[in-house]
Amino acid sequence: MKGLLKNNFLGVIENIKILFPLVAVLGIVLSVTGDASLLHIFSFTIAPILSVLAALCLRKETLSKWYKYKISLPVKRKTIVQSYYISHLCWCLVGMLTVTLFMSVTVIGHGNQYFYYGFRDAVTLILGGGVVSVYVASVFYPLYYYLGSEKIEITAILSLAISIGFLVGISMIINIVVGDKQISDIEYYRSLLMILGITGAAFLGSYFLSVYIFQKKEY
Amino acid sequence: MDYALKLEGVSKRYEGSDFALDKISFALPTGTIMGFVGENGAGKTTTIGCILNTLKREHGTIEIFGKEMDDDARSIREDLGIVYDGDNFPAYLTAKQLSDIMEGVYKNWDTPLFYEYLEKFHLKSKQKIGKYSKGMTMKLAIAAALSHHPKLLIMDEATNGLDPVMREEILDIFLEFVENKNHSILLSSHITSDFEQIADYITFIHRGKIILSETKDHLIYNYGVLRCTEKDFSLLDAEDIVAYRRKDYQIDVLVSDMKNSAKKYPKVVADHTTIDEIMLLFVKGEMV
Repeated sequence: MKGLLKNNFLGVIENIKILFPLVAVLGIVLSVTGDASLLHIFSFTIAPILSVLAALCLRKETLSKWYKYKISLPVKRKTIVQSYYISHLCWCLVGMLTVTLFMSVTVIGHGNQYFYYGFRDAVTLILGGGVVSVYVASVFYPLYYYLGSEKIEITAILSLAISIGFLVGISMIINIVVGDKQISDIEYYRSLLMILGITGAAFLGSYFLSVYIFQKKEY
Repeated sequence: MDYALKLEGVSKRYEGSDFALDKISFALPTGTIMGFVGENGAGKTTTIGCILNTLKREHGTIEIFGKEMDDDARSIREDLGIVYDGDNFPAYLTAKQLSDIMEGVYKNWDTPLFYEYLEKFHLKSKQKIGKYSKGMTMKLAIAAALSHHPKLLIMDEATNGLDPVMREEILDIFLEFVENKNHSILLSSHITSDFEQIADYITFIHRGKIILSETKDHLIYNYGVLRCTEKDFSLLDAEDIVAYRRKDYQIDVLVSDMKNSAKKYPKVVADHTTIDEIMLLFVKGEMV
């Protein structure tokens, strides 16, 4: 497992090199301007973008016979899938930590003016990006194993679109259930926990589905 | 006799394709090198895929070190060294990073040995694999396959892309590897001269069927080719003919007992043969 995780990390790092300066510039602009819209965009996009880049690193693996070679290594197919899911979670955390860092600098510099009725606190904003990122993995990996590497770009875009759609859908359902009334903190955090629970279950279910598909695949 | 690898009645079909592995059987005795020969598309890679479980066979058994290798059989895979044709590793890695990865995968990964091979093969450890030439990537794959002290090397067209000098060096390394009587090699290739140098056994595959699996010495010393005219050919007993090929003014006939055939047909020229010629007679010729 250690070797597989190292391989995944090295693969993603190559992709991240391009993203890193962009994130740094965006973060600095956010910290300096303190723009609320930019903060929301920043919070919701960094972790998902990292996830997509992590997923796309599989493309580079399939350009060589490494994907086939790995099956001959003394690791189970299940472990190979596990390594991708763990790596994905790690990159999701890196995204959320990056958001936390720049959000903290922004709030310290410009005061707490960002958390209102929709997003009551920083945690919700940070988790929002994380949830989308986890959904990207949940959709991407089973599709990747099912459709193969040839359609990896479409799979990645589709995963991102489905993930955003899913999150928007859940929020809409909650809004419909709750209606126009102002919800209490308890109800708010209960909803947040519910979203996190569904996300976790989807992630776990997706892992088992990917293992099932991969066990049957031939290379 | 102990076998490092034994296949019995292995079949594999592809959906939408006419090609199929048809109940293939052969065995690689421990401590030997087997050359696995066949034209492009004969089924060498499919066979290796079935052995390594990257492909699912429909029928038959495959035993490695006397055991069936399923996905759980990690201990068997610890003892396997694999080399595929082409790029085995992702281009974004360096040889050093590859070693770090392998160290986290194989229990017996020997980093100093890997670096020894890198030096021997003139490979730079910090250069991206993507910048390597084809020959260099093959050498790297061979270095990686040998650096966890495997007992069985399985190589699919591993000597392709190597210049004659390097090929010779690599073949010497393979011979050194099988000096240990517990070590064995299955080497698939269509470059048959490699086998004449190092193989103990030769297995021919043609259109998904094993047509011959013999010791190399038996093939070289007992098999022969009769150079026949049309008239000579008509006088041959069908049971003496393994395969034959019509050329412009001659028919080459492969026989499995050259000495006897030479005695039996004294007017016909009988030549010793090569693995290359045997392959050509099987592939391009006809069987009775």
